[in-house]
Amino acid sequence: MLAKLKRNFKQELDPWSGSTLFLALIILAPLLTVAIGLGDTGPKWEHLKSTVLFGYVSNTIILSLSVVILATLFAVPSAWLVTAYEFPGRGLFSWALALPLAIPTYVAAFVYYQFPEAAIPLLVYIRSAWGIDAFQTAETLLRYGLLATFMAAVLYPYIYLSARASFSQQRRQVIEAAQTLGRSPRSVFLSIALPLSRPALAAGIGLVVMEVINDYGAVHFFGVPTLTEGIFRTWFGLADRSSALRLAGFIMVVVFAILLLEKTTRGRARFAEPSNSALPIRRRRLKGLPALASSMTCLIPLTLGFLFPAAQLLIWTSQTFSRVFRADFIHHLLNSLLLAFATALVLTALSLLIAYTVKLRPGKWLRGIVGISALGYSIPGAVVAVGVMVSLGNVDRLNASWLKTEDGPKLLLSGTLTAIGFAYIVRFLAVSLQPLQSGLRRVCGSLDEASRTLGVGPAKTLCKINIPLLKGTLIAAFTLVFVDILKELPLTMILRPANFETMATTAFSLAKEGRIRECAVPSFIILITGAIGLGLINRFLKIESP
Amino acid sequence: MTAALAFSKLSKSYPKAKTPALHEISFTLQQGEILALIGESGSGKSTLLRTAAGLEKPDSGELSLGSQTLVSQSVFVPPEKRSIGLVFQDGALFPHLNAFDNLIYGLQGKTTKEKRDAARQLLELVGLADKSKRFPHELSGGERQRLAVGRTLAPRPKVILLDEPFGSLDPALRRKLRQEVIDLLHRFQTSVILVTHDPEDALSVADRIIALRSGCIEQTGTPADFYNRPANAYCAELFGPANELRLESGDARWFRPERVKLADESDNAAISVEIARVRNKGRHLELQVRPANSKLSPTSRLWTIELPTKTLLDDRKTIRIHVD
Amino acid sequence: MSCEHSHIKSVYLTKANDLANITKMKLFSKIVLAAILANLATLVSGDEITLYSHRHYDSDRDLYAAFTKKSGIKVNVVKASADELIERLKAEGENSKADILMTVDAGRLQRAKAAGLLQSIESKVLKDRIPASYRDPENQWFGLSVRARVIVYAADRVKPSELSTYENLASPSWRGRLLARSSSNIYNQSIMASIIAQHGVNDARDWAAAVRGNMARPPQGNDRDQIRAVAAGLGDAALVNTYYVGLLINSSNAKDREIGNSVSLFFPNQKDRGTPVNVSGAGIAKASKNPEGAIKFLEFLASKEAQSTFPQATYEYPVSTDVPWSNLQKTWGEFKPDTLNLGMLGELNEAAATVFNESGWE
Repeated sequence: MLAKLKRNFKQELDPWSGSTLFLALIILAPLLTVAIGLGDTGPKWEHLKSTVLFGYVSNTIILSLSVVILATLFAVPSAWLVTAYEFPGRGLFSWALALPLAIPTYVAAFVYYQFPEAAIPLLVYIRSAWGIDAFQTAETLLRYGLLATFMAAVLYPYIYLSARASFSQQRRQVIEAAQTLGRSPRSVFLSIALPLSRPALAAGIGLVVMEVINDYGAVHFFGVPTLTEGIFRTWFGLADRSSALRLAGFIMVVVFAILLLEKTTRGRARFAEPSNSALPIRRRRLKGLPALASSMTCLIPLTLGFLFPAAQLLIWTSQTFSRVFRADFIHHLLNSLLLAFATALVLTALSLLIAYTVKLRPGKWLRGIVGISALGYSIPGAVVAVGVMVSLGNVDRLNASWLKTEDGPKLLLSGTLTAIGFAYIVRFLAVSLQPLQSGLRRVCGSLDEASRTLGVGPAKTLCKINIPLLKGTLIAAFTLVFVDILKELPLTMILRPANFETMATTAFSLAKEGRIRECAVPSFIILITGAIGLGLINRFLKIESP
Repeated sequence: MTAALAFSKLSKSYPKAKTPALHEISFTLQQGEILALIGESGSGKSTLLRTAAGLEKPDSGELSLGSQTLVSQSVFVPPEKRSIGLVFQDGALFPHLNAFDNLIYGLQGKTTKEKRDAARQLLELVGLADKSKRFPHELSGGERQRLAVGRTLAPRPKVILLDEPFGSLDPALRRKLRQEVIDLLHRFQTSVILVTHDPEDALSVADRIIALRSGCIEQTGTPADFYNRPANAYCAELFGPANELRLESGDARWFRPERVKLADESDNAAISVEIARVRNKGRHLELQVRPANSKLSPTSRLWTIELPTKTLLDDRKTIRIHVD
Repeated sequence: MSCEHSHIKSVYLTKANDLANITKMKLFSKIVLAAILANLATLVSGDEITLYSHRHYDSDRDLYAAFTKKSGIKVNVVKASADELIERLKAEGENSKADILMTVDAGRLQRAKAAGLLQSIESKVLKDRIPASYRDPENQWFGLSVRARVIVYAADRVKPSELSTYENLASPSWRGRLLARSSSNIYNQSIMASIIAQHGVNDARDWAAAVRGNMARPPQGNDRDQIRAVAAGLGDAALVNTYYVGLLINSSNAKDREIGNSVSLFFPNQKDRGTPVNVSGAGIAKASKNPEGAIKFLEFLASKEAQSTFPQATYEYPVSTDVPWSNLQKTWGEFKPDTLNLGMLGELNEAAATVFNESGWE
């Protein structure tokens, strides 16, 4: 048995799978460093269990649930409206509803933080009128409600995009059949369109939950300690790294379960009707009150998630621009863009290599290892940062003992841009790998096989067939990673080299100093870059399906 | 005749499947032969083809092309080095290249002029000389498939594999295209394996037919063998309705409804059957009959036979038939 | 029903298209080159020191510039939270580029010392300029500015007789009136450490539970937000570091100035052990490649020139006694600081966090 495994493994090892395996293992190393700690029970574990753990878990569950419910309410009706009806502004809403993706939750928190303050007079009134208990209930509801609302408002696009894609892929025939059977449009939506889209919605909801669990800025600002905050409190406050890693392990398990669930639903969906026979749903024209109501249904999430934060940031930016936008700020901006650009480029290239090899060598080993090494996306950025820090520290120690010179060790990785770039790769591999994998599957199908039976080798096939065909997907994958890196905060904070600031860290430092208005400038730059990126991706989509 | 492609005990199974996709498949494709692979879906036809092309790695067994070993315990020649062409079901034309560029894609290590000449000649042959600048989505279904065949022929492979190449076309076009493609393949004198699920394809163009079922070869033979002497019910029914006739020895054989005539008085091999139903089909009568000797047909199913319309049946309840 | 994508963002990423070239190779190579150069730049060593700092004040930058101008030593700064920086120091080990670890509390310095990340140094200047209570007995860390955690209150709603000690905040008369930030904050943990040092773990737990019960709302926001809430009438008194009041009063924002001026400030425990204080300070990393430069830097920060900037720029108190306070600090008045050894704050930090968890103070 072992010998057979060994032989299989050997047979699968060639330059392609070898290099991919090597890359995947390097990317896996920091995650393993974290995972190794999972087994031990830390000295404070019992203490955690008997005191705060329940609070962390219940906060996480309550917040996730309320964000998911609100985000679904924002996303699903609007997605159905832009797919099935024609009303004023539909074309614009159809793509603009994705724009909140450009706003990280911590930036939304900066913007929405003014509301609890604005509500103080109301709360004071409640206390004088109904007493302290009513006041405390109102305060808690207000805070949770506000936090859940704005998080839902910036996260709903994950559900919106998948719902819209799923609705527009549904067969017109099915919808029309239901209509000829005497169903009203609303009942068609509830009885046909919505159930058919369940897997897509589940996938979107899974991502929203992941983002809520991963958030670290907004929940802190609003005083709702979730599991992620618990990790840091346990680690630093209680000085119990093992228990902190155990909490991180919990999160990993939950997220892994979500991913698995999503994958099984997707697996079944693949056997569903082929979408090439689908005609898009014919849109009905709405007039009068229904048209107005439809426009409003789309306008509300767009306003909460994008228009209002963008306008607020723009106002603050105009007030503080001259104070913030100085020489060193421009330097930070260039740093930020250059680092994101270079890392996104490397990451996209690596993802293409890995995705192509997995298609080329469909072995279980490779697929499994690549799958696990893409899990970095499911772990809080700060935990990834610690994993990277520890593993690079070990590499440096090895390195130093080999390369010791009289002036001390040379060519160390810790605290360099290489280290932070590597950490981004560990964290965001899934973001570029997944579109490329599905692109290779859907766009290239058997075309690369056809190329090879025509006598063209795998490397040349990649250049002549896959890359030209995947051009759009590559640009989009690059853009996604670029925007994600630009937004990234905790990992960047921990790993950046000396004197190095990105837009995200600049925004956070200013916010920490209480200079919320000033922090609008870097936040606005993040937002604009993200919006441009989304526009770019959207343009490709339009060209594909006119 | 010399062997073009020899399969020897080739096996392949997929991790989650219960039965192997291919189980110890052995056969030899002769030089210049057109061999049709037929079988129900999931019988392993496509896997066999993909294994021959090098797109799948078999678990065990050997494969050789002429004197060159392509697959063995220690050897695996990648698809690009096999000189085996594959025409995909959907054509797999490169959407970002025009007809001309698709055609010359496989012509490597040649000068531009050589490529251009070869392409012009091939375009002529596949009837696309005036459409060389068109992109695949600007061609009709038949044109696309002809282009795909031409592209596969361009590098002059020693063997050509066709994976249900006419599957997506309507019947009239299908017949026409089939003839064109076969003419083309004959002209190039290549050895061909054709995977199809359409008996008409197999019967009309193949020199030899192999029937596959659950990864095993059920029968190898000429089209006539398959039509007249199918090895079992599965093979028989791949080519339309057939009746099972149990012989005295206990063996079974199958006969087609139209391979029956009324027996002479003197015919010793005649079988008495009882008529259950008669239907006039215009050119012929279709009869549902039950053999008088129940041992001849152990199943309770009736035989379906055809007789010329002019046959006089009177009011007879039983007739004597001769099975060819 | 076909949902192929896993990452929803990839909804966008479907079929191929024929678009213009992805990137120009030239731009490509330039950026790669720039990235390599940026990495190499960190290898070139002139006379420079690298500071791992939790401090995030703009005014610090001017101070460092003044040091560079004076000494010719360049100061590189890595800003992150002290906990993260300590983890980074541990991971980097002896290969760390850090020369100095700077935090905003003594507890974290003590923790770094316990983890063996700092080194003892001999400097007469530092010993002379910094009072013994504000530095490590083994000379591994030195306080550079002093912070007092006090009670900020609304004069119209709090009677002077109600204000006495931190311990007194547990009294039922404060029900629904107190404000504080979360227990994960190090300033609160230091207060808790001082209470544990004084009264023991059990009493400390009861105290924290009672104070939590007296809070107007669950702990949230930062010290500045507590002051705002007092000004707006949400609560009557808050646990706050003094310099936050200073920062608000001197804010560029008119509303903040109004808020800062509307609240009053009380130094608790004046009649017994004194008001708990803490320091923002620094230690020299064990892995330091330039300890001489690092000592020079600390000596500069302890100098009269540098010390005099703290009261003016960040409204922190100076550690050295020969530097005048700012006018604002003078209006708050003199106070008696708690004499508890600051190293104790670090040693009791873990106990403080544990007690907070048990008491229900989030």
